[in-house]
Amino acid sequence: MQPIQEAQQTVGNGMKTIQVRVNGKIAKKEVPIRMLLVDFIREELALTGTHVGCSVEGRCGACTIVLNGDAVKSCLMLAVQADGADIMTVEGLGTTDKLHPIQQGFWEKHGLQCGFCTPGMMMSVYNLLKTTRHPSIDEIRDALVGNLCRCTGYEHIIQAVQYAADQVAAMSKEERDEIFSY
Amino acid sequence: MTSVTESKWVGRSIRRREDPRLLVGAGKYIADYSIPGMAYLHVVRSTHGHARILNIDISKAEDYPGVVAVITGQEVADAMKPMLVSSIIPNLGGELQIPTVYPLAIDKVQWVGDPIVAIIAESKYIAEDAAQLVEIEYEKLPVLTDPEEAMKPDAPKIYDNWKDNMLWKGQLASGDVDKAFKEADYVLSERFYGHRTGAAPMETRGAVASYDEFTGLTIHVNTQRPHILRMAISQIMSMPYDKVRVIAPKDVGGAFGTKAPIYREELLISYIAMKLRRPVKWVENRMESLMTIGQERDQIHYLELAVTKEGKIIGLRDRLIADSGDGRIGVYLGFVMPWLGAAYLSNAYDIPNVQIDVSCVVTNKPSLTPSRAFGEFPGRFAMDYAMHLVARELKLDPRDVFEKNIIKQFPHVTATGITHDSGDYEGAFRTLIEALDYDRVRQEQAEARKNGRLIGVGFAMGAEMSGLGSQIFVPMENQPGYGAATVKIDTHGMIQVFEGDSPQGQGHETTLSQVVADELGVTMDDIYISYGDTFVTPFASGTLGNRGASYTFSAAVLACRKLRPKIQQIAAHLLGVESDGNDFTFANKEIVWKKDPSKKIALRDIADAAILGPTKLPRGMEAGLEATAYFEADIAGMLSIGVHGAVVEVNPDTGDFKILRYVVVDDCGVPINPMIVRGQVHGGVVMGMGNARFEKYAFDEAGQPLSTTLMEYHMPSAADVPDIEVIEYNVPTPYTPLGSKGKGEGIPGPVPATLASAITDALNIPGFKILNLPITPESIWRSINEAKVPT
Amino acid sequence: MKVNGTYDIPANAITTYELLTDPDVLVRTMPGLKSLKSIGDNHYEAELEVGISVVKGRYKGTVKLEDEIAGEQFRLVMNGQGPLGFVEMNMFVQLEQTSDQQTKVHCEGEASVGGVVAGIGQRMMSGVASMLMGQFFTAMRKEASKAKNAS
Repeated sequence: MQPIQEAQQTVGNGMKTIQVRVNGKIAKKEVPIRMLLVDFIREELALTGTHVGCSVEGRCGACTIVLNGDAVKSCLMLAVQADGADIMTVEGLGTTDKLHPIQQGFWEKHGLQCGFCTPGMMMSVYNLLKTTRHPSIDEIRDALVGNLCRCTGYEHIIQAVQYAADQVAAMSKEERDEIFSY
Repeated sequence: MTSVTESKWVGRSIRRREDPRLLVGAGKYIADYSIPGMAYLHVVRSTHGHARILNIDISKAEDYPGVVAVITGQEVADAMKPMLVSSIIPNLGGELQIPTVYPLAIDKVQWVGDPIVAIIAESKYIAEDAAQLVEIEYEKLPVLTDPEEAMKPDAPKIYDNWKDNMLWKGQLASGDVDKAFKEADYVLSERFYGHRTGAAPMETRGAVASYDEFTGLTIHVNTQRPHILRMAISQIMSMPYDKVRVIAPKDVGGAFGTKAPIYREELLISYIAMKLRRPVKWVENRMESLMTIGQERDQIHYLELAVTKEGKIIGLRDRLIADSGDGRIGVYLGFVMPWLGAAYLSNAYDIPNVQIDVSCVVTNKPSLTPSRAFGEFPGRFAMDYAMHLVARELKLDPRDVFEKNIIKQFPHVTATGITHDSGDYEGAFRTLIEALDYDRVRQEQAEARKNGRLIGVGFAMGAEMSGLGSQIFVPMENQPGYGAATVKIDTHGMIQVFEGDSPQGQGHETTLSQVVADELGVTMDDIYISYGDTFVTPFASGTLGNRGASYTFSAAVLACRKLRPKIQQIAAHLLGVESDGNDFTFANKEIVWKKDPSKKIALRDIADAAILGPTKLPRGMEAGLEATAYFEADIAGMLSIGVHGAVVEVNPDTGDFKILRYVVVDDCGVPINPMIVRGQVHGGVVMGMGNARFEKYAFDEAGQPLSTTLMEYHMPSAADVPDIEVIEYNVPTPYTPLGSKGKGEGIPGPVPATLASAITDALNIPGFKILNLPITPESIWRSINEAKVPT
Repeated sequence: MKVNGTYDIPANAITTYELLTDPDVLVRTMPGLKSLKSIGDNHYEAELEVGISVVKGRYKGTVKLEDEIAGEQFRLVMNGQGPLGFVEMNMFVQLEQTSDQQTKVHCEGEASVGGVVAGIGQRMMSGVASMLMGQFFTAMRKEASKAKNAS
């Protein structure tokens, strides 16, 4: 907790150089020490798939990323706290040519409408499916409590996750390791 | 009017075309826009519910490094007209007092969150820092948070130059109501309250504005109605129409009505961009958003029903009091929602004698802004739950009371003047009863009771607007109700469709493509959709009120049908066959002569002739292949029915309840994409559950908002809601070319009465009633205890 | 928001009154009060630091004593305005001497907060207020003991 205090006391002038690996690429930048990680990702790295829905409350989950293997809310961290971290954002999940099973599931099952919550939602699903092979509906619902969606009523999101889980379950260990490498 | 074309695409649950970009994080929302040299706007807002501004000291903020400008209210006001110009004021009769408003408060603030000072800085961090340095001195004034208090003759006035605090007052009435009440066997009379709650989309509002003296103002803003905003900015700021360009982003993170009004910040950022000659960006933070937009409902209904002993409702009387807040938003003014709620109050029921007196009162809260189930949420709760109370009092099965009152003949015009075009409400209702397995649930209920478990079943209906035709929309919002679309075949034989509306997640790129693909015999991949840019798209009222599948898509169909004869004439000419211009089929991107299918030509070749090689056209034919059409239904109103049912289990000791089943039977005419329709139903039900159970914009007695974070304003998460079963019961409307209707807008409406009636049924306590929203374990527990105390 | 409470001070009513109305003592004892500068009769300019966790902020305002009768009663009117909102308090204080060494202080008042502080912290506010009052009177008891030892 100490770094937050120090950062706040030097508002406006303190800078620090940080180095992170984002979606497999090393990024080294000098950032204001008070800069939020989500702003670093969106504004310094131009990865705008990570969204801001609640301004530093950590409630909406639209800014969820995978950091050192865990789904975290990037609005609740400073960029400097992520120094040295291995990060995956939605841009690292899959491409339109080769969608990740999670993305495929959301597409097939209409798991998104406006799409604003979707990147963060998928990061939480990533965290779930990495560790749980056949999640039950209740497990899926519980895994998504930190991500709010205002459009879908969650029904199709649940189906999307089930679709993805089935795809993942049918994969070989090597294939699984490859798509859950973060 | 309905004509059949080959349907290969309409009616299929096709994956959405917009999804790939959204799934890889390449969606472009307003916060993702940036322009070189862009500065950032932060708005300093009132901390008081009602106060005079004695002094504003901006000197420290101005001196803060990185601050570009600090702007206060008078300066902005001097540059424009009062915001509520006539084109964005409804014309609904009754008595209306119009507040004067400019983008920033000048000498008085009316609610906590009222914008006062604009800070523009090189970064959003600096703008927020500098905002803390603005010093505002206030003199507090009495705060009004209760509309019934604010209506009293001796109440302090919120607007000094008004005669009282009544924003709008009017009556909707028809038939002989007094006679109906005299003849009634039973009169139900209750006060119902539907609290302040609403939408709160995941993406807040935002805009990026820029200005230069040659092209004028360009504002990217996540509005639902770019054309109306363009018109408003031009008029309010006295700018030539050609110097105002409003562009809604391709991707908007939900709106549900909240992004439909004309807001003060939109005028503010336009002024700032003009003044500074610099691009400016503003993205509302969540706290501002929860303090400012998406607050709807907030109606008290003193509802009376005159009923025969058989359960037929012969008269309805209601005194509706709405807490309109400050009423200072364009188009809606905080009273159009309650007005429409009154007009739709009798819902799907045939009630001949109705009198509704509506009072919309200003208070020291932000203005009501539209939210899905526009104005209807409290009224649906009151009306449909009241019918269950009627059944209980008359010892009738509520199923029979509903069946007795449901509209059976179409078209049907209600006593409040709403036209129901077509449908089978009774069939939809019966389908729900079957799906619930109503009789078996009753048996199970009896069994469960023996084991001490309280299970109940409830239901409610919602006839939701399917767009609003000009006959209603012109008086209601001073805007046309027609749908507008342009269909243009390009040099490559691909089809570009332009719509004047601007969606926020509804999937128009998919569904509009499905519609056009069928009309012109192409695949969806041959079609691209353009929307959002007012310099390019035809004028239209915006994506709201279920207008898409009913009005806008119908316009696209008509535009295609305008093009078809010309395409056939060119085909006949190029193929050298005789044609009356209507003897070709459109399939596989080809135009095929019906008399001899071996005579066919690719649409691309026709486009080539019409656009690039006009010498190949029949003599005298105009070049080009494009058409714009405006669709207006040949009936005053279209509605679509939804019937909701729930089975719940209640714990009488805690008041908590669990939803065991939630079923919706839904009609949208012809569904263009059933998967998308189901998604709308799921989302609407869950918003209704959030509104009915968890979400509340709370204020203390000083008007301080207590729900300014998503922790306090509790929107449901995945773990808060049950599975939702959806059953399609579609009846095509004869009033649109495809038989399609809109779906999504009104779905939250039936949720509170469905839950309330199921809970009441489960408890089976005489005298137990749920009269106030939200329905919480605490409110149920209290009602149980009140019912148990003999009066 | 109502702020009520009764507290014991180990001193007689006159001493208690003097302690409670002495700006130097108040700065030492009132949680969050940073300075008091006299700007008139019983009227002070105050600097306060109040708030809850993330919404803690510095407030500038005034403190005024009214309706004062030495050894019996006074009214404390405080207001503060800061970047995150405002705080206001109007509290009537009555002293009841129960013995030579003991006075009961009855406080009855209204407090209100506005702005971000209210939005985020309102629900905790009454708990916080009684905690602050508790802290204040604990410090005041120490002052009273100090005063007694000094005399």
